[in-house]
Amino acid sequence: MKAVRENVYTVGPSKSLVAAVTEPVHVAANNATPVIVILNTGIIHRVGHQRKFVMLARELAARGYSVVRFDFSGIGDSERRKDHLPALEGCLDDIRVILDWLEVSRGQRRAILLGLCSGADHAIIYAGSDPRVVGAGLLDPMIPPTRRFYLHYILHRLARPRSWLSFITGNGRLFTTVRKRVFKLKSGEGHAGSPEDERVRVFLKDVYARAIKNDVQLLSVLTGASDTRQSSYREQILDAFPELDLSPLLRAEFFEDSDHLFLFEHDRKRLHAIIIDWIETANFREVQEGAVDTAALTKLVRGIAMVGGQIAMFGGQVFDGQLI
Amino acid sequence: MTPLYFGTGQRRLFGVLDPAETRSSQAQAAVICYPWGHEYIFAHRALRYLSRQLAARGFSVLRFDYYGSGDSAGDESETRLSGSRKDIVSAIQELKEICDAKAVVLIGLRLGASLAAQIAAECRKDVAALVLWDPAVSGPEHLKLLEIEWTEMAQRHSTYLGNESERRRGARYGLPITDELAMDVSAIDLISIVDKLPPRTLCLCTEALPSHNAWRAALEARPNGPLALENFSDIHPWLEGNLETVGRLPLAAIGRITTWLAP
Repeated sequence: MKAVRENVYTVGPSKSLVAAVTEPVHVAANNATPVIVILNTGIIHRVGHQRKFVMLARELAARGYSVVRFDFSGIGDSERRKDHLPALEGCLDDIRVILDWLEVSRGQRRAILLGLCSGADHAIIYAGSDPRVVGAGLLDPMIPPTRRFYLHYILHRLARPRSWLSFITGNGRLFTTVRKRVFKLKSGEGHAGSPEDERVRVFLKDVYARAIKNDVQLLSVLTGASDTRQSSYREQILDAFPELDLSPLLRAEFFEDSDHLFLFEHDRKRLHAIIIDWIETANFREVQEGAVDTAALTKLVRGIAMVGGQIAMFGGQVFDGQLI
Repeated sequence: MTPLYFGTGQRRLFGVLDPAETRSSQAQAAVICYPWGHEYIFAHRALRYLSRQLAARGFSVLRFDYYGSGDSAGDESETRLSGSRKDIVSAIQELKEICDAKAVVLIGLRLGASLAAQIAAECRKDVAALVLWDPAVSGPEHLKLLEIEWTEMAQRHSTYLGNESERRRGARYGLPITDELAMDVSAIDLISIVDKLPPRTLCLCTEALPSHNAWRAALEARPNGPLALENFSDIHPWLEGNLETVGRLPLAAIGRITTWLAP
């Protein structure tokens, strides 16, 4: 294990983004390992729930990697943007600003983006547009339901005495829910902007297709004991996008007993071990020439922003008019 | 906004300074003391907002992470409240040097308020005023609240609550809590130090607790001048918001603190 050091920087044209860098004390001049960039989970600042990203950054740095944890504009300690970009576009531009800074000031030309929940969504949406991104670690990303997911869902509800009690007492929520869900799946509709919305699935399919084209290594960690219950098995990410061949680039993991936030210490330890193993063993490609495809990215996200609902909240900065 | 490190090589602390946006004849300075554990994570947004509000009113404000928390050095399992109190003293010293102030205001939320009160009760000349926002008045009561909050959060997020051995190891509070730290928290008793609090102290409560009756009585009976316990409704920024409250700020509490400090 190597000794680590931590420093904090203000980054960007107006020095408005706060970024904490954790790295080995002695970084070899020819160090070619990619830098790991950890993104916010919703509006939680860069420390992460249960301080998980601080501890992960220190573990990775002790193994020789540089890790950056930064706050999106308006979240944590970072200042609000002044250009009035929509929230999602602002977050994606913030990632570009951080990668520009890493390249110019620290010579880092390869990056792995890592995020939980909305952070995972930001990571995969951005991953296909920047040749510097060689990996995306996706912890419980937004994932469309599949037929196998619904089957698990039905069986799970059938196994709960409370579901049967509701049925007997006439509430029948189990069957109402299933009927609604199956109907939505068949019709391709669903709550606007939710993972059940076919427009969201097509958007995510395009996002993953762009990541494949950019030759980005992917780690998907799904959880099975979350309140959101949007995933129920390891291969759901493959089944959700049958048009794509994700397998060559994807390592898929499933934490059946873990919640969405990895609240329990044993889940966090297992999660950290998997992330470290993936970073140390995945075949991250070498540096590619090329510029960030901002135009295509903007077109992509403006299209989905029109759908509204959950997907439009990817930026996570606007709540009840209290934008700070 | 200036992020910075201070403290010693063995106890390196991370803080963020919001410099005063307006100048007054005498430098005004405030140190914000965060809560502990999951409460710190959720309260960060509100306390950052409070900091900016005070900076706009002429205060230089330093908020910082205790050793073993946030971006500061150390592991959570190393946290002891005696150490956290030393961190507050370091932060006071750092801020006084940065903005050339003779004294600071200490503002604390939850466990941070209790630690701030304990520091202020040492009759330091460099604590000009004290703000206690929903402090942990009684240590055992606070530990129970932390356990309830954590259990509710875990139940909300998970269908799995862990087994008994994990709970014994400290998962009942969401972060590892050592026996020593649990003893430290249990020993908190704000009623016993009421008489030593500065005359300029604001006590705000948005959550009614069983300990408050005795605390209110003690505050009002202080021989060196009564203090009022102000109760009013507001959201609790130290708790995880639901879909309706996530991201919302406790504007009433923050407004009361800012107007009390800078009318």
